[in-house]
Amino acid sequence: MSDTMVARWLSETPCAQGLGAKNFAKLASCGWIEHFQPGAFLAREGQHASTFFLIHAGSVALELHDAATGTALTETLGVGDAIGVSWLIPPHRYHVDVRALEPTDMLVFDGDRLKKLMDEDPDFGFAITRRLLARVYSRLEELRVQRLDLYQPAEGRQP
Amino acid sequence: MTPVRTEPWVPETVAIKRIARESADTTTLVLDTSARPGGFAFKPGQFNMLYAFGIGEVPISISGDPAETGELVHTIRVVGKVTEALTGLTPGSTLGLRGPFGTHWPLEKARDRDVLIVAGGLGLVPLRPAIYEILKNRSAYRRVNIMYGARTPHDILFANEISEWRGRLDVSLRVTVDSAGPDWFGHVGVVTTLVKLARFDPETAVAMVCGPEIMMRFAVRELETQGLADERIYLSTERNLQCGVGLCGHCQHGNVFVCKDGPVFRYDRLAPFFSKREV
Ligand SMILES: Cc1cc2nc3c(=O)[nH]c(=O)nc-3n(C[C@H](O)[C@H](O)[C@H](O)COP(=O)(O)OP(=O)(O)OC[C@H]3O[C@@H](n4cnc5c(N)ncnc54)[C@H](O)[C@@H]3O)c2cc1C
Ligand code: FES
Repeated sequence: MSDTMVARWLSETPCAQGLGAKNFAKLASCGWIEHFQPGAFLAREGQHASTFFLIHAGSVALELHDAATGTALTETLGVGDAIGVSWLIPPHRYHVDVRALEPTDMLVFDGDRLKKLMDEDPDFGFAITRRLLARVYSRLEELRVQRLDLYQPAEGRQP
Repeated sequence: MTPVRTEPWVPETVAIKRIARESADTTTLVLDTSARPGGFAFKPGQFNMLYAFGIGEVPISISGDPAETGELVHTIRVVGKVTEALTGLTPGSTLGLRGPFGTHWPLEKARDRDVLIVAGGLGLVPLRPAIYEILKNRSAYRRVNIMYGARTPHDILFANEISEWRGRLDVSLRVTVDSAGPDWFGHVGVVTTLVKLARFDPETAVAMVCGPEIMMRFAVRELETQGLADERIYLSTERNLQCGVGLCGHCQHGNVFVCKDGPVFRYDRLAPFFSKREV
C-alpha cells in the first residue's frame, strides 16, 4: 500500500492534528497499512510490543483471559483511537489481547523506528509523547468512571 | 368511573394490569388508567408518587408512551422496602398514585435541531417517553442520537425496543456496557465515549441526559468538550423527595426545589449545586 495512502489516513486521525509538516512526515515514514479480519488478534498479552496502531475503520476489543472465569471484554476502541503505549514503555510487553471485532483497517507503526526518531529529535519526541499522554489520560478518566460500577444501587458499589 | 384527584396529597387507587421483568432487579408495572376521564396525560420526564399501601410512597418516573393514556407504565428497581413492595405486587392488585409531577424534557426546544439522548442504567426510564415522542414525530427533529450505557449486556433495559430502534435508518443508537464476555459484539466502555462518535451540530443541538450523577457530570463535560453550550444540556436528577409538590422543603437546595423545579433541569441552572458534596 502506498505512502500517500498512509499519509492520507494519518491526516484523518485526531492524533495527527496540529503535528506540523516535518513531524507528520516523520511519523508517516514509520507507518504502513494492515487489514484485520473479524476475530484476528492484533496483539496478545505478554507478547513483545513493538508496534502501535491507529484505527482507520472498524473496531477492536481489549480482552483479558482468565482460565477460571473466561474472557472479559474490558474496552472497545473504534475509528481514530490509538492502541498501545507498551512499545514506548519497558518492559515492552502487551498487557491485554487486542482482537478485531469487525473488518478493521489499521495504520500500524514501527515502534522501534519511532523511538529512534523521537530520541534523535526531541521536538518530534515531545509532540508524539504529548499526544499519547492526552490519549492515555482520557482513557484513564474513562476507566476511573467504569470501575465505579455506577449503575449499581449505591450500596452495592465499590468505594 | 374513578374521579380525577385534585388534592395533591391524596393518592388515588389504581390497579395493576400487567407486569414485566426487565432484569434481575428491575420490573415494569403497567397500571390501568382507562377508567379515568381522559386517561392519564403526562409529559415525558415527569414522575408520579407511588404508594405501596401500609409501607410507603416513592417518586418513580413515568416510562411509557405519552400517547397511550389508558395505561401508565413505571419501571422500578428494587433498592429498599418500598420499591421491593411495589415490584412484588401482582396483576389485579392495587397501589396509590399521585401525579404527574415535575418538569419535562424540552422536546419543543429540540424541534428542528439535532438531538442527543444520553442515558445510563436506570436513566433510560425517564427518557423513554421522550424517545417515543421523538420517534413518533421524527420529521420534527434533525439527527437523533441515542446513547445508552448499562452495566453488562444482561442489565440492558427494554432490549427488544432497543433492537427495534437500532434497526431504524433515521436514528443512530449506540449501546455500551461496562464489561462483557466474548459473546458481546457491541461497545465496551463508559457511555461518555459514545458522545464522541455522535454526529451533531454543537451550535444548535439539544442534549437530554439521565443516569447516576457521576455519569451525568462526565457526560456534561464531554458534551461541553464537543462544543455544546450549558443552556442546551438538560439533566434529570433523582435526589430524594417526600411531598413531591414543593410543600415540605425536603428536596430544597438554595432556591431550587427538585420536585417542582425539576426533576428535569437545564444544566446551567443546576450547575451551582450539582457537584457540591453537601447537597
Ligand atoms: C424524580 C425521581 C424519579 C425517580 N424515578 C425512578 C424510577 O423510574 N425507577 C426507580 O426504580 N427509581 C426511581 N427513583 C428512585 C426511587 O424513588 C428510590 O429508589 C426509592 O425512593 C427508594 O425507596 P425504597 O423505600 O425502596 O428504598 P430506601 O429504603 O428509601 O433506600 C434504599 C437505598 O436506596 C437509596 N436511595 C433511595 N432513594 C434514592 C434515589 N432517589 N437515588 C439513589 N439512591 C436512592 C438509599 O440511599 C438507600 O441506600 C426516582 C427518584 C426521583 C427523585
Ligand atoms: S419533596 Fe417536598 S418540597 Fe420537594
